[in-house]
Amino acid sequence: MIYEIVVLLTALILFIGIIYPTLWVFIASFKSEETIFSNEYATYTFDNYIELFESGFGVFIYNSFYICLISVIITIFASVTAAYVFSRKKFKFKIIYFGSIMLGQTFPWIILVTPMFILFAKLGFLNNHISMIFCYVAVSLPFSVYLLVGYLESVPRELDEAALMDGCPPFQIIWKIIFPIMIPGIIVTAAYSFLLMWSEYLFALAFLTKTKLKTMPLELYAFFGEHTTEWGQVMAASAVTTIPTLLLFLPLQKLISEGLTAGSVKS
Amino acid sequence: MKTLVNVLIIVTGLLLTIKNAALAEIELSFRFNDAGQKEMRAALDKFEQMNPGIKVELQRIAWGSAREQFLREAAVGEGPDVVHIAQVWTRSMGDAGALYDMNELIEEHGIGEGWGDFISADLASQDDGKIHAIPWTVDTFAMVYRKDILEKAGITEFPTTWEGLHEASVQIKEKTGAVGWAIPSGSGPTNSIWFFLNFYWWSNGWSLVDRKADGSYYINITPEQIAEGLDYYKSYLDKGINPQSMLNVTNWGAQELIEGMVRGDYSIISTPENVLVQIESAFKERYPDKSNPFASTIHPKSSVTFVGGRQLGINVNTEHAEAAFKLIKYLTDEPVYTDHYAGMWPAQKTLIKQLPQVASHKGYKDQLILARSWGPYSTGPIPIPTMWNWVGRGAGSVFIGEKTSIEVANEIYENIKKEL
Amino acid sequence: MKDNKFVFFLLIPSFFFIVFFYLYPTLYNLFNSFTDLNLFKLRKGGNWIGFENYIDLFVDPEFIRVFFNTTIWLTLVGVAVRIILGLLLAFLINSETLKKYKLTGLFQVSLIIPWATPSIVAVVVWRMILDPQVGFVNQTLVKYGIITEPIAFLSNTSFVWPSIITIITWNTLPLVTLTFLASLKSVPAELLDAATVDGANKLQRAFYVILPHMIPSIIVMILMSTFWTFNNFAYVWLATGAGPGTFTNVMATEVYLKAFVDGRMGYSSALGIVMASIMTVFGIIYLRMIVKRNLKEIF
Repeated sequence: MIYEIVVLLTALILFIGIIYPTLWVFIASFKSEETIFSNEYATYTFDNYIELFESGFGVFIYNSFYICLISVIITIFASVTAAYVFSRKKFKFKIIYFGSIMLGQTFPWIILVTPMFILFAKLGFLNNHISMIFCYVAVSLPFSVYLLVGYLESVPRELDEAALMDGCPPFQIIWKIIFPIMIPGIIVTAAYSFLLMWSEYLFALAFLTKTKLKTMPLELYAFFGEHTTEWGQVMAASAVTTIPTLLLFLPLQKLISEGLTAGSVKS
Repeated sequence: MKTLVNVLIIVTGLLLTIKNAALAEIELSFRFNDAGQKEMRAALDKFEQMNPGIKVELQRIAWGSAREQFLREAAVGEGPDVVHIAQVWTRSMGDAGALYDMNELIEEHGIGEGWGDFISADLASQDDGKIHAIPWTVDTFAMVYRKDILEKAGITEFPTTWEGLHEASVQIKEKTGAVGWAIPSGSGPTNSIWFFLNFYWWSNGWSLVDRKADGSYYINITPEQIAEGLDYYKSYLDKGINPQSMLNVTNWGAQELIEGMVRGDYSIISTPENVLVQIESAFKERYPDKSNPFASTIHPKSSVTFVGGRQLGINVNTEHAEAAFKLIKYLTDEPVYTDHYAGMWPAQKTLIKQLPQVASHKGYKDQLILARSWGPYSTGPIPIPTMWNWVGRGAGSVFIGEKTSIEVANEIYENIKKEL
Repeated sequence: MKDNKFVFFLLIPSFFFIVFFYLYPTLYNLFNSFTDLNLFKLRKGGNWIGFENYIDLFVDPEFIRVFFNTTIWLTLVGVAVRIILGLLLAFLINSETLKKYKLTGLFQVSLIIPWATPSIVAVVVWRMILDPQVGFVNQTLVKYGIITEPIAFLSNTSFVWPSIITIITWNTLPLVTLTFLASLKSVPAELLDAATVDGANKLQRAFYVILPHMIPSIIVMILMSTFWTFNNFAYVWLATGAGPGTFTNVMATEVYLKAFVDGRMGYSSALGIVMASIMTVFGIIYLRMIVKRNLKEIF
């Protein structure tokens, strides 16, 4: 009995620790800017949200969604094909090639900004969503390939090999046989990539300066002004930035936690 | 016949293209980094009405990244047409070849009441006479305090010496429990302690970078004197009269300072005027019945502060220099300051004289008269942001006791000397 | 279609990204690291100065601090805390008690919340929570008499690293925990039953049956957390700006400071190359591991 109480108490404290910070953002976003940090006094209002959307935040939400969605689709396409090849085909220099993709996970992104900036400038891709999409795909590709190769290894080879024997064209094997079986793994990969891109701002900062092209984290960052910070807007924008990922992750929660292991533990 | 028709078609086509080109709208982009984007948009709408054929796109970037981003963009032929920059950046950006020389434009179209009417014009131009930006706004730090708390602590006159300010802070802490001078001492690249250290040094006639009559630069301070300033601010932290949490407050307008002043946890800060505006507005919302307890005054020892400010530059890569200049001319005109960019001081002497006076803000006017420009700091060979970071980081190491003040003072001294 | 051609065709997309986003920037930085390229002279380009940047770097006392902070504090401590807490949390969520009260699902769902919170938001809110004046933590501690004076968590040198690690852990623990949880659930029931029959108690079962089963996923998580933390710029930068002084300066923030505050882009590139080299070593260990353990059949 005492054991149970201790376990439950620990769980309660951890539970509070886990949800309190995000909860705080949502509560603070409804407080007037002047009273956000006051504990004894608060005025509740929608003003922060109204001001946020009046300032054109809707466009940034759209841009973020658009960029992330397309990037996720391309990532999935590129990593499913790569995963299939790595898992099912034998070819020269395979380990080197696989290795160089995997090493991408260890790459310090911060040193990527300047060279990419110069390259994109030469190609005329600055202030163009294409540059963001390329970068985001590049950033999420290594981990996605890793997850999907792991996942594919847990799918019996006989399935696609049988189809190959039957003379099914290789491309069809990928899209008609492999792809549907891998859906759980793909969802995890997509969710992971989406989150990574959704909160990214180092690249966005350098590549997107035109207001109508900007993404959400970028605008959030701009609210930290030189003299002062517009806290009301920061809180509302933070809440708005967090909601889509929450809505996306909550229903997928079970799939995500199962899919994650498929890659890392293969018994 | 056929040929004739063809020729006709081509000619009409050509004419149409030329006509279209003449009518075609010029699209300017203006990067404006302050809050109040809505108000600025309204000002730009008015500009567009007045100048049919020119459209202005407004964009914003966080101040923290504004400098590196523009330098990067300008180097590869990109970036906005008109750019909002800190006045201390202008020279180095001009040297980097990022800004357009406006001499001819000014000669042709004029600007304000003339170039001599602008404050910080020295920072906007180079030694060879090139004008790389037009001063837009100026500001400076003044001491803001709570009259009620100082009174409670038995302080009737705001101290006029550094020691007096220190003693007053001790007295306030003892008698009221509130913090006296709350000094943001964080070490980020745009830290506040850099300003406070310089105010201290300048009030004693010292300066990290100075210029001789022959135009060469020298270091006009000894390591001991640098250390004296560091020790002065360290003593606030050591005695607990400046709370330790201030070590993580980097910004002079940080929420902690505003909230502290509103609640009365802090009683003195040194800050720009628009922060005082925020403090007063928060106080009014929180305590609608109480009268305004805030006042402002000049720094101790009649310390010189700096004229901070923002300037407007034209990107060297622009295709519409004329239109860009037209926009700058409009933005530096009086109605923009009074109707759209309120709370900012124009960087023109004539316009400042016409500003209305608010009692609690009187200190700013007094302080601005005393203020100096960054002068040799910014014309000299070391970019201010670099020194700013050195001094802030060094001060941080002293404050946490990792290095002694003289060690850091020597490092700063050697670093500057090496570069001069 | 011939198999080789098909393989080649399928690898084009990933090949494209590897070349343009990994190979090219690395070479670019490698080249710049031998020049004195400056932010203010980007147009002119840099002059070749040989190994000067690297020599400067290794004699700079700041580099030793930055290296120590990055490897020991940020990575070693940060990763260890995450792994240990992640394991404990996974065991807790999977415990009989929580199952009995039907709390397992709720807990698992709640873990999504920190994970879905973007890092920039996470740091902003934690700064507020840890604030000495208005923060929840200090107010609670003072209220219950645990401390008398509020602690400046993000500026007091004894607390600043633990605080940064708390922030990172909060934001990244869910991924680790959920991975462990899934691995925990995949322990075959027969194994556990057999252990129980042999008279093993709860603790013994955890140590001798469950943990060994989880080893592969633990190692993979250690390595991955290492990559994600070592290179991370956002947490430290937003939480402390590398201060007080340069107390919390890490490699990623130093790369940024040197390139964009001091304008020394060549030096910063050299630092970036050092960073990438260190991580490559870890990357090779990781690669060997996953190839050996998980992907044996395909090579």
